[in-house]
Amino acid sequence: MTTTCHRSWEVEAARDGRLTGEARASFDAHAAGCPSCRGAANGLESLANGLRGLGSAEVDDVSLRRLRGRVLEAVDAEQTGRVEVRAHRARSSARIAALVGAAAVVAVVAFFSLPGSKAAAPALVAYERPAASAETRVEVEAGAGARYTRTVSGDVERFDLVDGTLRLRVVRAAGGRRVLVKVPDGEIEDVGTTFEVVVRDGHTERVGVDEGRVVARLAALAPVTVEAGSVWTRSVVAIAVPPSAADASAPVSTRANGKARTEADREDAAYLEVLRLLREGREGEAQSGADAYVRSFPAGFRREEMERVARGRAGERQLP
Amino acid sequence: MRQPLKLVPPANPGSEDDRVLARVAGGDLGALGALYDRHARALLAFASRAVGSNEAEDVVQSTFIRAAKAASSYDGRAASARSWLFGIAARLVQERRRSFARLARALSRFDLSASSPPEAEDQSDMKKALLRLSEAKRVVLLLAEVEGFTCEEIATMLGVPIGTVWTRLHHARRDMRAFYEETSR
Repeated sequence: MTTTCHRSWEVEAARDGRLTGEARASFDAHAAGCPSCRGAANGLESLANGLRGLGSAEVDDVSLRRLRGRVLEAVDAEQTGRVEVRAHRARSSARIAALVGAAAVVAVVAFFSLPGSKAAAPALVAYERPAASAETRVEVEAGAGARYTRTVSGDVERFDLVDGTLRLRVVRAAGGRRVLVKVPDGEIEDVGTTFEVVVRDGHTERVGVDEGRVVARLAALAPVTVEAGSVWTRSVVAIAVPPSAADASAPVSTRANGKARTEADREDAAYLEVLRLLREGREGEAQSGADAYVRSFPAGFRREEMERVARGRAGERQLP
Repeated sequence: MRQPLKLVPPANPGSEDDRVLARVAGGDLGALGALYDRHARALLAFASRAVGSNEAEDVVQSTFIRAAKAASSYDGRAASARSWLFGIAARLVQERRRSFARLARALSRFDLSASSPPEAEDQSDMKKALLRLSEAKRVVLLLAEVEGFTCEEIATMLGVPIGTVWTRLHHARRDMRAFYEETSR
């Protein structure tokens, strides 16, 4: 701010509310005809605009939801006498690492023990014939080098994807068995659709849906519903794409974010309901509620705590 | 000539937020979630500017934890729940600086160096200039110019005389200008 006007100091004073009444009116009248003071005011406004542009792009919905879970968990821990406020980040990382490790072990065991399993698909793309089932038909296309196993147990058809790309087309009649893709850091459940999952280095990188929708439940993230024409990626919550062209530079899908938010709200509500029941001493109902939470939100923020409650260890909590 | 900044005035001060805070004071986690939903995004943006994105979440988490503890003492003296929460966050940023200074002094005794706050590298000139300000000046500058609080509100939020706010604001702008003049040579 370079100015030669003797009243230039009043530019800042006016902006900060230090000039009032007649002094302010006098300065406003002066500034209206003083290019130097107007220039100084513009300089201050430019600084403010620059500051407003900082950091705003760094706030995303996923961070907000994750932080919300941490805040509620930490405050609940303090209110109930448990002390784990500052441990969350490390604990979350350890939980993710444990999940990845456990999934890897499961995948390896499955590879060596289950019939029909394979370590790697042939080069380029492998195609599996649809599984014989009256209710559910699954067509599988595996990317080059994809490592996965396929098993059927009860009413669940399960794919354990360790690494690579798996593309599934699921045709399921009402009552047909569920189709689950277990990934190192969670699971993706089909809801009658054609979709693709990419795993790299033990993490789910991408879930793209062409038809129908899937629910992705990944460690440390709220469950996300990915709908037809949308792509979930690890770095961006959801990217809307035209069904014909998956372009990662497409604008963020507010629809998918809205879905994620709804799921997270349901998770919060289920958790809070269990807490309420515990505080009222209704442990049996709390156990049932916790069990329902674990089944509904297997990658939920409070899964470990809800598992403890579901197993009937609510007495360990020091409730207020 | 524009009026003093008031970018985001408290929406209907003393109403819904006050009721929510009363429920938070009673230990209602759902109410805390509602308070979070209403203010967390703005607080996170503020904290990102004030301390960098790496530590912003810690500041916001601590803000709500402290707010939950102190909710019973919220008596409406703050202009709004929003300014009350920003006041907590601003003080946390300043406390963080004091902790950092203590760490730097401790390390210096062992001939180790504590670098400047993180994220000073690979940032825009604006962010570099901002991170070079003291926490006290930076907080006042952001509260006034970005969040739109008046100097009177900032003085109440931080518990300092209004003259101190004016002085810090003036010095913050002067230092920012000096940084630009220095880097443009």
